[in-house]
Amino acid sequence: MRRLILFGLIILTSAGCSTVPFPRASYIPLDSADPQLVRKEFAASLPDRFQLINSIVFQYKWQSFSALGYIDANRELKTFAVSCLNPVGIKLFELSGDKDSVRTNFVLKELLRRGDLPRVIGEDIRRIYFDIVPSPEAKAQKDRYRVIFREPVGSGAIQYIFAGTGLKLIEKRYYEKNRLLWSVFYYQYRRDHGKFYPAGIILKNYRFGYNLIVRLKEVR
Amino acid sequence: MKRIMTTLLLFVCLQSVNAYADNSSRDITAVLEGLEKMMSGTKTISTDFIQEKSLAIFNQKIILKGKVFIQKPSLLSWRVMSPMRYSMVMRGNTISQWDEDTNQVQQVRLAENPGFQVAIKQMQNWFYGTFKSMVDDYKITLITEHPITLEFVPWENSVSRNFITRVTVFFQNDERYIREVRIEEKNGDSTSLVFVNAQLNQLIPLSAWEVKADVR
Repeated sequence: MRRLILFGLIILTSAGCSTVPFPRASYIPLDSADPQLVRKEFAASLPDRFQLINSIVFQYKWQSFSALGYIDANRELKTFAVSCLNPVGIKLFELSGDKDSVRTNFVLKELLRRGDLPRVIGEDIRRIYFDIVPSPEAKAQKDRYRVIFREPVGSGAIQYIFAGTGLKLIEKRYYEKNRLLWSVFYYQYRRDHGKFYPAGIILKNYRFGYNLIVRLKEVR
Repeated sequence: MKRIMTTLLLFVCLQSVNAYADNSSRDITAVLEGLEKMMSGTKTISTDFIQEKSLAIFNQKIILKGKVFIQKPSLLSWRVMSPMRYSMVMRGNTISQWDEDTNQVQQVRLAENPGFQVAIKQMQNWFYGTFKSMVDDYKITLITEHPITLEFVPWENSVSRNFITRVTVFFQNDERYIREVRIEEKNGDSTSLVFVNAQLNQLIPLSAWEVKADVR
């Protein structure tokens, strides 16, 4: 995995690292918020299907590279297709997938020789865009500013944290054996055609030590 | 990727063409030689571009807009303004890149990156007008003469044939520079690069060669 990431960085020849580039949600007292209502309202605010243009920054240690991504996703069916270009407009990879598999339509031959980059990217896309609403059976708890849901998934557990204006999902965490493996942070929800989209997303993969920063550029 | 990138950049840099369409019997070698001769008179180019990338699996296009500056013998600046801001400046044997999201400037020495060096070397050949260097990789056809339109199809044994079906270069009516480049890829994707507001042999501001800061 590390070789794969390093290779990607070398291929795209960029350097640098940045701090969190999005403002944190303003925490407001929850008062009498009903967790189930929070869950339902958030679910209703999300698009079932969407096409987005994003810029993407992949960070690993002190290095990073940027790309432009186009994603077409269906949250209900859990299907997606994504193309990623470098800033000059050259396609880096193209994937499609569903909840069980990722199909590589195109990826740079050099990347394929060094590891299963499509699988890694496909998993991250699913972590970011799918299963972002807890099930009705998820265990809910509240503190002064947050509603937190937790439910088992596979061999681990996912935690959903809702806070801020409109009580939107601000973080999704995945634990295995009480160890936090990855988190996705959602920032600055914006409304488009009656649905809400996070304008900023950060995926932190603690296991492999990389970050993915996604900035929403356009909703199609 | 480097080859595709090279192809893109090389075609982007075709410039300064005129007065070749007066003899329909002229063969392609004569056309290319004429282009080379004419391009040798162009020392600087600055032009806006609109790049439309059509992705086969989507029924949508991604549109990038920006500006290109070229100054012979060794300066190139490629600047994307939207949907993200990015700039790349080649100065001698060094490439510098910057983008707004990382806000980092990264430098690449060509000597330490053989692949990049090859790509840039080819690009420089185009800036200098050495079109005949492409004859080994592409079958080049003169599609129209007024204005000139050239079609580049990779030969069977060309590496480019693995990913490029055809490149078509359209020149302006006055044939002084390129109006559009279309690249059709094997995977069904296509790219159109349209150049507008081109200026030849004008003084290019020093800021064009600065990779960081504002790229407007």
